[in-house]
Amino acid sequence: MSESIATSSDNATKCHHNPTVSCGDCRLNAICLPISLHVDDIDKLDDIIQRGRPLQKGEYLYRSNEPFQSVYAVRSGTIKAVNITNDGQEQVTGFYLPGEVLGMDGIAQNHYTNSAIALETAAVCEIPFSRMEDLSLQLPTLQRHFFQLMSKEITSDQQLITLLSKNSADERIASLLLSISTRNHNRHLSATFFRLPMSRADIGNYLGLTIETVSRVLSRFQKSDLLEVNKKEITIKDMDGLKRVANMETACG
Amino acid sequence: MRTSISPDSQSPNTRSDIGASILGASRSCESAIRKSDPCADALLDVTPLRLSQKTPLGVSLFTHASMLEEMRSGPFGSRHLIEGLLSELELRAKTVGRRSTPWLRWQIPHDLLDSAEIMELMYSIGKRFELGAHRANHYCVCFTPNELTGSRVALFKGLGFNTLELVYNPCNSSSGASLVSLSSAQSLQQQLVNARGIASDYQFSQLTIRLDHYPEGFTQALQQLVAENQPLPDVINTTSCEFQQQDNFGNLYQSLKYLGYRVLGNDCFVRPGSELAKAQASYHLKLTPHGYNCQNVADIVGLGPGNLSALNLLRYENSPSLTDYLSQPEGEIRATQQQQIRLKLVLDNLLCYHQLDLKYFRSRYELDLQPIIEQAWSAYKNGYLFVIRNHLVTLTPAGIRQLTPLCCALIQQFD
Repeated sequence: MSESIATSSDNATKCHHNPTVSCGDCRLNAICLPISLHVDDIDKLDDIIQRGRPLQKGEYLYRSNEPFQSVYAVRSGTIKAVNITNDGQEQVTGFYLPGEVLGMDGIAQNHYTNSAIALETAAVCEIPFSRMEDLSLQLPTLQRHFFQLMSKEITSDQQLITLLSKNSADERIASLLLSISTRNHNRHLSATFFRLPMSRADIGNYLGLTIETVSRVLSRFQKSDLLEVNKKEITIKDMDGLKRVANMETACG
Repeated sequence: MRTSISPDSQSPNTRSDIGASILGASRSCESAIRKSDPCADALLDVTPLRLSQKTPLGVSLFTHASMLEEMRSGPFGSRHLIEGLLSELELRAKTVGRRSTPWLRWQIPHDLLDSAEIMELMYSIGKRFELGAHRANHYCVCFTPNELTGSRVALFKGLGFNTLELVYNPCNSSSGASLVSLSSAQSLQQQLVNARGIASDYQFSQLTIRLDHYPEGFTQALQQLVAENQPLPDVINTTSCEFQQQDNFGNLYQSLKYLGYRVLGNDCFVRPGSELAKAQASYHLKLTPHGYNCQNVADIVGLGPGNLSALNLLRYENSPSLTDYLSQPEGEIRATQQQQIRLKLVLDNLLCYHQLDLKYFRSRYELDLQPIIEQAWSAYKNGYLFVIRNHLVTLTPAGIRQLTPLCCALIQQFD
């Protein structure tokens, strides 16, 4: 685990920025792990969760091949997952927004297969996996919800791989924008106006496109009046049109 | 003649006691057989701790296609099935230990379990056995044509499965489509093309077919694929009793041979150059109750109602009834008898390679097969169904088509 994250010995149940943060109070509890729990059981989950100091932009949450110990729920900010290919290139494998859980790639092989890096100042909740397993025996709904998250993550990853191998640049970018839109909507944020937390380079890397292609496609979408682009800010003007570009049945995330 | 070793006679109080008594029973069985028969070493391998040795293991998950109907009409639901599978998994894992698992087969109707339940089962299997992402592994997931959806295929691909199997069974009517319409060559061809497309999209290394029921127009559909330059399925397994009638097998054999398939035994047709074909050519095939493999897997843990576990000399048969399975997940146990060990060696070789090496059996197992074969196959002229040349008995193409009666005649000689 990254040295940047405070350990449980550092009063980690309290967030340094908001000492009263707990799962019961968190605005994300409707989409994060507590979604599966009865209100009386949320405290049991809260007891095992560790909340350290926020990550700064570029800071590692965990690195590939480190022993697997915890999964992490994003509380604020954005985290990207990267894999180092055989020829030493960095491959972006996912973006994690608030309320989403990452680190599950470590479960099967007992070490993280990807690295996780903060794209901006980010706060995470660390969930020691062995403790969550123990708690899941008492709270079957937690276990089920966790397996749902895992299956959804695995399915999305594979569908993305298929998307990248088959679809055009327009379809890939439209799918990504719609994915972010949906995930914002799930957090009761605007589905049509949002800020892209990742760079054009990261988008291109993730979708298997060059930066130039990403910029060109976004410009084309703007000219077609599908959306408005102002640096990192996106306004979707024609949601149905964007869905048509993405061929919604192949959309991922 | 079967010998049942009932766990009830051990008066167990817990599932772990049942596991321990099974292990104890199997060890005493091994010891007795080893003393009396040199052939036993072939199957018992090295030490009395055979069940904990590190030979590769296969895992099969199975429920029959009509389980959904049984659940709808009975008191049990999917959660009961999951709990039953997990109980059996724990029991078997204690018996066999944590072993490398290069062979895995999932044949549970997809309507029965949701993604979270699939995840739970695979997570539990991964905790107890060594699953891996090696190219040589054979991790096969079965779908009927109506069950093939992108999201479910994607999940299994992400879980490490690399072979997609299309199953045709008499219950292939969950969507309401009749078997008559399904069996037309055109519909079949479209199903095969769709399945190949999905397998290719999600980068499965193999597409195989399992015929629990023979759909009308199947070979015509394959011929049409060839005519349109489309790839053929890599393996075609036949399990339907329709094929036990020799005419049916003979017709299918000829059709698939014409399309370039090789046959393993008389129920498994493989493309030349496939891993199974190469294993046959290099005498590296293994045959289990779950079929042929080239992963050197002889022991299989078979989870689920109606499934079969084969752990060296022991067989565990699970009841096909969900009610009975839940009350007795350890299944009914039977031990392979002494004579059956010899017979199994002979039949395995005959099925895998269509050949018997008389010199090998004489020197390795002190088994003189020639008089047995001459007696068993006395009704068949040498040179027509088989050829004995030097020390090799080799089946001719006509002999391969007559494999069932040839094997039955041999079985009678060993009784």
